[in-house]
Parts: sequence; structure tokens; C-alpha cells
Amino acid sequence: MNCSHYHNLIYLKAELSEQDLLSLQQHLATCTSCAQLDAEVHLFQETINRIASQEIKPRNAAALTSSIMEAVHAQKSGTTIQRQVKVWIQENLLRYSLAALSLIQIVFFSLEFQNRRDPVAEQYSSSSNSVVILDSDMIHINPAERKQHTSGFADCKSPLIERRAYLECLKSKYSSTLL
Amino acid sequence: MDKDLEQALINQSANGDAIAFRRLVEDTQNFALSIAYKFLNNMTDAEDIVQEAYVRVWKNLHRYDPDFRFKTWLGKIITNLCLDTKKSSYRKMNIRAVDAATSRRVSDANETGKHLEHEELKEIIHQLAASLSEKQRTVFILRDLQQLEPEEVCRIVSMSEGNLKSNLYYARLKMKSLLEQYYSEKKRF
Ligand SMILES: [Zn+2]
Repeated sequence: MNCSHYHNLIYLKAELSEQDLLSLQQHLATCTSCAQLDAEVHLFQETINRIASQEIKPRNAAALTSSIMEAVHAQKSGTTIQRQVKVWIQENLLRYSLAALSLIQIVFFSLEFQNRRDPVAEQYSSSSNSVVILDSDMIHINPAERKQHTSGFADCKSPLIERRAYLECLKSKYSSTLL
Repeated sequence: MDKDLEQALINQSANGDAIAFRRLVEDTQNFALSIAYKFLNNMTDAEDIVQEAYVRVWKNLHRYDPDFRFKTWLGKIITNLCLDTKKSSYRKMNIRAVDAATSRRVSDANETGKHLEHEELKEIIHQLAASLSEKQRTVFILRDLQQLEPEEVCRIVSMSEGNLKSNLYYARLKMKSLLEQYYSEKKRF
């Protein structure tokens, strides 16, 4: 073994296995330069140990404990609230999701029902009130007029117009074309 | 503290017993503060980190691994917090360390007495340690300044024994050289 190997061991004396320590001591007994380094490192390590042995204490131990426990209590009440919210969600999730599902179904069916049995639509579904424009009626109108009338009908097609108003609009436009 | 008593207090604390937790805090806060102070070199910062560390401990008690000693686990939390908070400011400290060491030589030239010498030495070592790499600094603080057992340091920093020895070797080599340089320059003033 060369000296550089022992230099490494000198710096790690406190961490060496018994076998390595024995090997190092044997080398130190025969090598003056390594023995010199060993003395220096020993002095350095003693200085460090002196610093390390000085106890670090809080300025006020009781105050530090209190501040730690206050921080923990703040955390504790925070987590208690979070935990309560979690439990409430777990316990009520099924109940409320069923309620939401029922509500969605009610809304869905009522919309469906309204589509099928629109009283306004029913009112105009009788033949006397019908606004169905027959091809035969349109034939009597010349193409220029038809275009004008068509665009007139197109005025009624605003999605913003209420269904009843739309039907009234159509009816009035149709009546005007027949006059 | 007896291992069984420690485990009982941890179990009680995990079930929300604040009195049991307070006993754990009282028993270990000096140890926690000592590590934090050696990393941060400032008592106010160290106390803040210790407070934060115990909040983390409290929140994670249900995850505590009984194979670890409580102090080892606490040491790991403290070390990680110190490294996280100091990661950016250490670079600044690194530069300041040299300046502070130089200015101290002049201002302290007339100071005598063992206490002042000791305080100065402590300050200088903490400042010089700031110029080590993060791994070297961490093992130097835990092993040499806090004097923890090598196995404990390995567990705290999740490092193999070989890795620990290698980092310790370079840390001591550099610290010895920095300290010798500091004293040889001080003699000239
Ligand atoms: Zn040699």
C-alpha cells in the first residue's frame, strides 16, 4: 500500500474498521510524513470536537415548545375541519348524487313532455288554423313575388322569436300573400 | 428516552394526543434545534425550521417507520428542511463567508479570553462549512459537528457507507485546509 491510501485512512480514523486501523497504525510507525499528517488531522479533529461538544440550546426552551405546540394545534384544527369535510362528503355523496340524478330525470322528462304536447302546437294543428303552405298556393305567386314572400317568411324564422309569436308571424305573412 | 416509551408516545400522538406529542417535543427539541442551527448558523431561522419540522412530524406520524429511531426521522426532516431553505441563500453565504472571515480577523484582533475564542472558532467553522458542496457540508455537519453515528448519518441522508466516507474525507480535507489558511492569515494581522 502506498502513502496516499493511508492519507485517506488518516482522515477517516473514527470510521475505520479494526483491521484498517491496525494497518494504519503499523504504517504510521514506519512513515514519518504520514505520521506528521496524522498529527495535523488529529489537531484539526480535536478543534472540531471542541466546537461540537458545545451544547446548542434554545434561547427559551419553554417558549420554543409552546410555539411548536401552537403551530401543531393550528395544523390540528385545520386537519380536523378537512377530515370532517371529507367524512361529510363520503357519508352524503350517494344521497346527493341520487338526488341530483332524480332532478336531472325530472327536468329531462318534463322537457320531453313539453315537446310532445305543446298546447300552442295543438291549437294550430287543426285544419282551420293550419299555417301549412301548400305548393298549390305558392304556384299562383310569380317567382319575383315568391322570392319576396319567401324572404318575408324568413323574417319569422328567428330563433329568438317565441314559438307562439313565430306561428302568429307565419300566419300573418301567409294571410298577406293570399290577399 | 426509552424506546418503548418513545413508541408509546408516538402511537398516542398519531391518535391525536397532543399531551403525548408535547412530551416528544420536549425530549427532542434541543437535538432538532442543534442540527438546524449548525446548518443555518442563525438562532431565529433555526427555531422557525424546528417549528416547521414538528408540524411535518405531526402530520406524518401515521407514516412513521418504527425501524427508524424517532430522532433519526426528526433529523432527516430537519436536514431536508434546512437544505431546501438554504439552497439558494447558501450561494450568497458562500461569498459572504470569506468576507466575514477576513473582516473578523481585524475586528477581533484585540479580543482575548477563552469564550470569545471559542465563539469565534464556532462562527468561523460554520462559515467555512458553507463553502463545501451540499453533500460534503451535510455529512460534515451531521457527523462532525452533531457527532451522530455513521449509520445514523447514512440513514438521514440516504447514503451508502462508502459514499459517506468519501464525502467525509473530502469535507475534512477541505475544512482542515480552510481553517489552516484562516489561522495563518490571522497571524499576519
Ligand atoms: Zn506514508
